[in-house]
Amino acid sequence: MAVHESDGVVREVARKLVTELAPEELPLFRPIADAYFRDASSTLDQRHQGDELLGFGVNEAVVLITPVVLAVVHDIVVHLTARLADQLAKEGGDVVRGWLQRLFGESERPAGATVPALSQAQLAEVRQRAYDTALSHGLKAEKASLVADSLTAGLATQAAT
Amino acid sequence: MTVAAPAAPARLNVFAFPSDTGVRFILLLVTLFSASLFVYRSPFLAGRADPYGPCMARAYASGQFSSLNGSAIPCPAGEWMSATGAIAATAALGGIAFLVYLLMPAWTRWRAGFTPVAREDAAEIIATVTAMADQAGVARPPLLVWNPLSPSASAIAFGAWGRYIIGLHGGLVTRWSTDREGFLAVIRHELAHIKNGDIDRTYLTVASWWAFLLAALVPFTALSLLWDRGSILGEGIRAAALAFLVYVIRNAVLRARENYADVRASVWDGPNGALRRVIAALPRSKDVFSRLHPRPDQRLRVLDDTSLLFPVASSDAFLTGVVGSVAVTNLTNTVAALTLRGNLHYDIAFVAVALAQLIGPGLLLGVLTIGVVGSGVWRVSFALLAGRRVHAGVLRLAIAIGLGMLVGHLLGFQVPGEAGGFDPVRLAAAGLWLIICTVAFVGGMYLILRWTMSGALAWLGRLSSERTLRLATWIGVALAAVLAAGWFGLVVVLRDSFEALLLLQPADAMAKIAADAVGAAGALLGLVLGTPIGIGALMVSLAWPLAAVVGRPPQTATDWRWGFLNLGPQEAAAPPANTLQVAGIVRIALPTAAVYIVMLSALAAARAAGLLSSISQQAGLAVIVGLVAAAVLLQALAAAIVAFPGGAFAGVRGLLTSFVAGWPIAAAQVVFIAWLTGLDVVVSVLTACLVVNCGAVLSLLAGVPLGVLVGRLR
Repeated sequence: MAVHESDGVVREVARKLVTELAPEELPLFRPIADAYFRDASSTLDQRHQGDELLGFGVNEAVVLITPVVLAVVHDIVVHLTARLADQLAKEGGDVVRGWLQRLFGESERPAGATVPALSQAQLAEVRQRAYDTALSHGLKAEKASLVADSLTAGLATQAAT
Repeated sequence: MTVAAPAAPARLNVFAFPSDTGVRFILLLVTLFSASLFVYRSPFLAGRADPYGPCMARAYASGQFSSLNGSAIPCPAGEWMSATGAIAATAALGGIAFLVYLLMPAWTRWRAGFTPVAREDAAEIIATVTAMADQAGVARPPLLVWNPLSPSASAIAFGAWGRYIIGLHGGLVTRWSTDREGFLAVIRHELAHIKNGDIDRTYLTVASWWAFLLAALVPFTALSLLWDRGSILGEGIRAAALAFLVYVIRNAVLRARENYADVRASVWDGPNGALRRVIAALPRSKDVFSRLHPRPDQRLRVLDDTSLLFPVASSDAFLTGVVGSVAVTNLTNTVAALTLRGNLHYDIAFVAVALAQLIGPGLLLGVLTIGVVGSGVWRVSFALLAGRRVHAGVLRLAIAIGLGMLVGHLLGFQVPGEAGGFDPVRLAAAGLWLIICTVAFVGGMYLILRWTMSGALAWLGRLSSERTLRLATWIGVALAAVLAAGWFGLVVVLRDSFEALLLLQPADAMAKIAADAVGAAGALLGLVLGTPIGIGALMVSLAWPLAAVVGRPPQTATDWRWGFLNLGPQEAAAPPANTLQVAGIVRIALPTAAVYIVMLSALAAARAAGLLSSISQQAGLAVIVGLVAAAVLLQALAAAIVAFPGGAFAGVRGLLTSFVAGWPIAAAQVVFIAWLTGLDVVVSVLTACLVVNCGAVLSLLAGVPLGVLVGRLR
């Protein structure tokens, strides 16, 4: 799943979500995002360290949501890109990027671009997809729901403006 | 939420004394060294050289050792080569271990996925940790690395050669925002590891284990499987036991330092810190064997009451005995083998072997056991003085050391058997002899540890700084090590010689070994009891605890603050008054001497009246022996009277009583014998020394125990 074109978008959107949902993970965001774009699958494989030499002891693991948020946003971006590919193919890659940024509220609407709004059904589909992706990467239902809601809320807001 | 520590007396300063970690690390190094020597000298790796025992037996049997003829030892050069090779290989193993130690930080970083923490991501965290390291007195701020993807809410400290690193797991970094105090508590624990010097010891321990495993144990196992599977039951089981010993001590080293890190961190954390809460929240590991930290409840108990770290564990004492004995066997055999080269002469070989056997075992065992257990006795003595409920367990420790030495001796057992195995009767006799020697080890160790404790109790109440405490501790431990070295050396020589005599054929060869050893032991005993050497040792033994009380005012609570942690406004308890009671000792000793002088006067009067004029020379000798015996018995009786109330100083007080009474008694006796037989300087010195030394020995072995026993029964 190549995301090179939309790396920046995924990073920015994910950062926004992490700021909202788990601000305590912000210091970790940049290195985790870098690691994600190098090797997404190993980033999502969070392994809890056992008892370590000169450690503090076997501690409870904290569920880090940043890698999952990155994966969810990544998945949604790829999904939306594919769905809208036909319509936007004519307008070139730069416009795709601009549209995505606009869609997620990251920049002003590019001049002359046609930005289709997402219908309620499409928003529901995106939410479900985001929720399923979050669950599949180990988030608990409550947390997965929060991630999906935040993401779709952002999309809905932008679609409405 | 803060979990408040229960109200408790001030915590004892565990850092003022040598820690368990250092002690166990020394044990590990000695074990590794001797285990490596054993493995490298085994026939599988050393090219099947002739074992030391048969070679020496042949040398004795051939009569070459019975004359100073300078002829060559009939041992093959292979023995010398195997010993030299083993030493070189052990040194190489040390080099490999050091190399592994240097490479471990890079390995740890790679394995844990640690990368440097960038200032742009966590400038505040970096600044805080650097400031904490500075406050903690860590000379060089540790490098901060992290694995942002690791969900553990933990950190580790690692590094090598003064370059230390703290690795943060991603889960912990999130606590920076959600639980700042919890984050800081974990960092303090890691800084405490650096401050306590745990990192080098821990990683050297792990590196040594891997080096031993890969460079000694694996080749040994492979070659023994290839060459001689039949011998696995002998050499292999012994090597496996040694490896197990190294592993057990390794784990003890790895676990021991965690409590000290917690206590150090708690000092910085303060009474309102989050350390207790964070530890209390740790899940309890079910993995008993490989876990590297004590259970959380144990950690909390130690945090609340540091005196739990003060007593010496019986297991440590036992392991010390095992390690010491194994090391003695391997080292003395290796040293002896170095002399067994075809072109070396008897006199050089004899001196080397004699020194290795007489001085080496005693010195090594004395230094190791007292170094490990003696320093612990000082720790526990302080806890006792401070009124904590701890058990010194001196007898328990002495028994544990003795049993450990027995096991270690059996583990390193290298007396070559006959083709048909040992005769059961001889084996039973050797077993009985071993038990007797073990009892002698335990008895001697018990007395030496009691003496160590008396010195510690006398001094600890008089020291006003950690610096003077360290000095006093090391002097006390060194003196005890000298005493232990002498005793152990004597018993080891007797044990090994008679064991060889009892087990080996032909008897004539071993009889010569035994006769030589018994002669040497007898000469040594005579040297100690019949010359001023024994008196000198006695004086040093008594001077040590006495020096603590003579002319020194009792300490106040203020002077004793070094012994406590986080005192704050509360005062430390003042040390209890010293209970040596020198005046009471003199009140018993001088009348005892007076009784003896009266007895001698009666004898002199009888002789003057002509009643003793016609006795034979033999009867005269019997009278002199009787006089010495009476003098010794009187001293022991005086010691028993003084020891009657018991207490920690009973032994020293008994010994001092015997010593004070012994001098006037000896002087009177010398005068009397000179009057009887004419002045003979040799006889006079011998008599005086015998009276004082034997009086002290009997007082210690019989007088004091009897007095304490009667006192307890009443």
